[in-house]
Amino acid sequence: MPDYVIETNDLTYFHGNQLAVDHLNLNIERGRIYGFLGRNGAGKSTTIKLLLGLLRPTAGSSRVLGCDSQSLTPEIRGRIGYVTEGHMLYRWMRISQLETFQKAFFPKQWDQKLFDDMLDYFELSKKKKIRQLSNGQRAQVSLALTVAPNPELLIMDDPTLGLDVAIRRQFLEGMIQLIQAQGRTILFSSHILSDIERVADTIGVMDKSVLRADCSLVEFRESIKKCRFHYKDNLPQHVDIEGLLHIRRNETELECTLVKTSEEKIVEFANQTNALEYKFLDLNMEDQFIEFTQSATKERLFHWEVN
Amino acid sequence: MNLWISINSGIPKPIYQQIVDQISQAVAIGELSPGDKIPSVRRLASDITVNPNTVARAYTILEQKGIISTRKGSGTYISGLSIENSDITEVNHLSERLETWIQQAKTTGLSNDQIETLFKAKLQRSKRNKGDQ
Repeated sequence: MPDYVIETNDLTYFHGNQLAVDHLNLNIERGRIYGFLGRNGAGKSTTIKLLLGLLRPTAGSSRVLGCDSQSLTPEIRGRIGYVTEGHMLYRWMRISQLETFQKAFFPKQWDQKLFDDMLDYFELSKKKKIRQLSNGQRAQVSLALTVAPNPELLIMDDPTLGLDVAIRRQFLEGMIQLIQAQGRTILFSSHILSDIERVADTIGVMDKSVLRADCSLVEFRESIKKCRFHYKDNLPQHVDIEGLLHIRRNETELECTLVKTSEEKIVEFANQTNALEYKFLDLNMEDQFIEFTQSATKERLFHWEVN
Repeated sequence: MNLWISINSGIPKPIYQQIVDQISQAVAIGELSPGDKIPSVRRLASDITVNPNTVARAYTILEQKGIISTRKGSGTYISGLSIENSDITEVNHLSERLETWIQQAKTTGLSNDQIETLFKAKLQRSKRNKGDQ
């Protein structure tokens, strides 16, 4: 049986009368780096807060490290590291004071050398006050404080938001280092698809409160395709292919975004509709994400007249 | 070790494929030779900041193609490369680039002999560099 570190069972949450998380069934295996994707307001942060017991679900339930999120014991909490969105830290404290404060919660497992090494690497002096730090430096302190207790499960809510490329890369390096230790699991959300592609092996895509994809990164990369069919003039009026997400057309071409459509079905469609030829368009992960989450009916935001 | 892998996330080609192609290429052009040791999955994952499972997937494919082999307790080594093992399109691509390069060399005024000498010298140097390590 797979060893799940996070399990949710029809987890549902309403913000007032607005549905924020809709019957979520998410299982994350130990040892994974799980990239949690979704546009703003899709329900990622709410899900994370529900997992940590910071919000009470309207319906359904979730378990983290085998314990119900609503009754996480201090022992279990001690095995979870949580980096919040925006890196909330007491602004009036010095780094050294924050260190003492944080260490007190994890007396047995605090790795002093790791913490000191990370600060050295980031070139941060412990004397500095949090309010004197830049956004990037606060993020670095926050990462060091969270990683030093050696968390078995690391949950990070958009940890690299607003950080420059070099600091983002440090975060990714940190994740790779951490996952190399046996039995660790990371769940992190981000809007930077190229970062997710580098470090995640499994991804989940939230879209309007619903988890629409939950699969290996390779499977996601291989499943979403864009195919352009070329016609002499008679474009098919009705397009019926398995896995069709949306279509675009002009006088002679039909462009289809497809999910998990087999090559045979594509050939079959091309033959049936008398297409002259078809070809696959190259998509990077960001293109795939946009294709996957954009609504099927919307027209372009605006149209420039170019002359 | 003459192994420089540079990953570009954000392009259409998946990362595991980039690793497979770059190692195959390095072998095809002689930067890596049979018997050369390559980094472990964990090591390469850290070096290039890529998920270890992605590197492991690339290594599995390379192993299936017969390009690398893992010896228990010892490490992962280049086992060789025949043209049918390598990615044909990559080899074609390299060969085209070589043709272009030869054309450019001739345009610059180099004779066939000079081109051959230059090429051999470079190849020799790449072998020597590997010997140094």
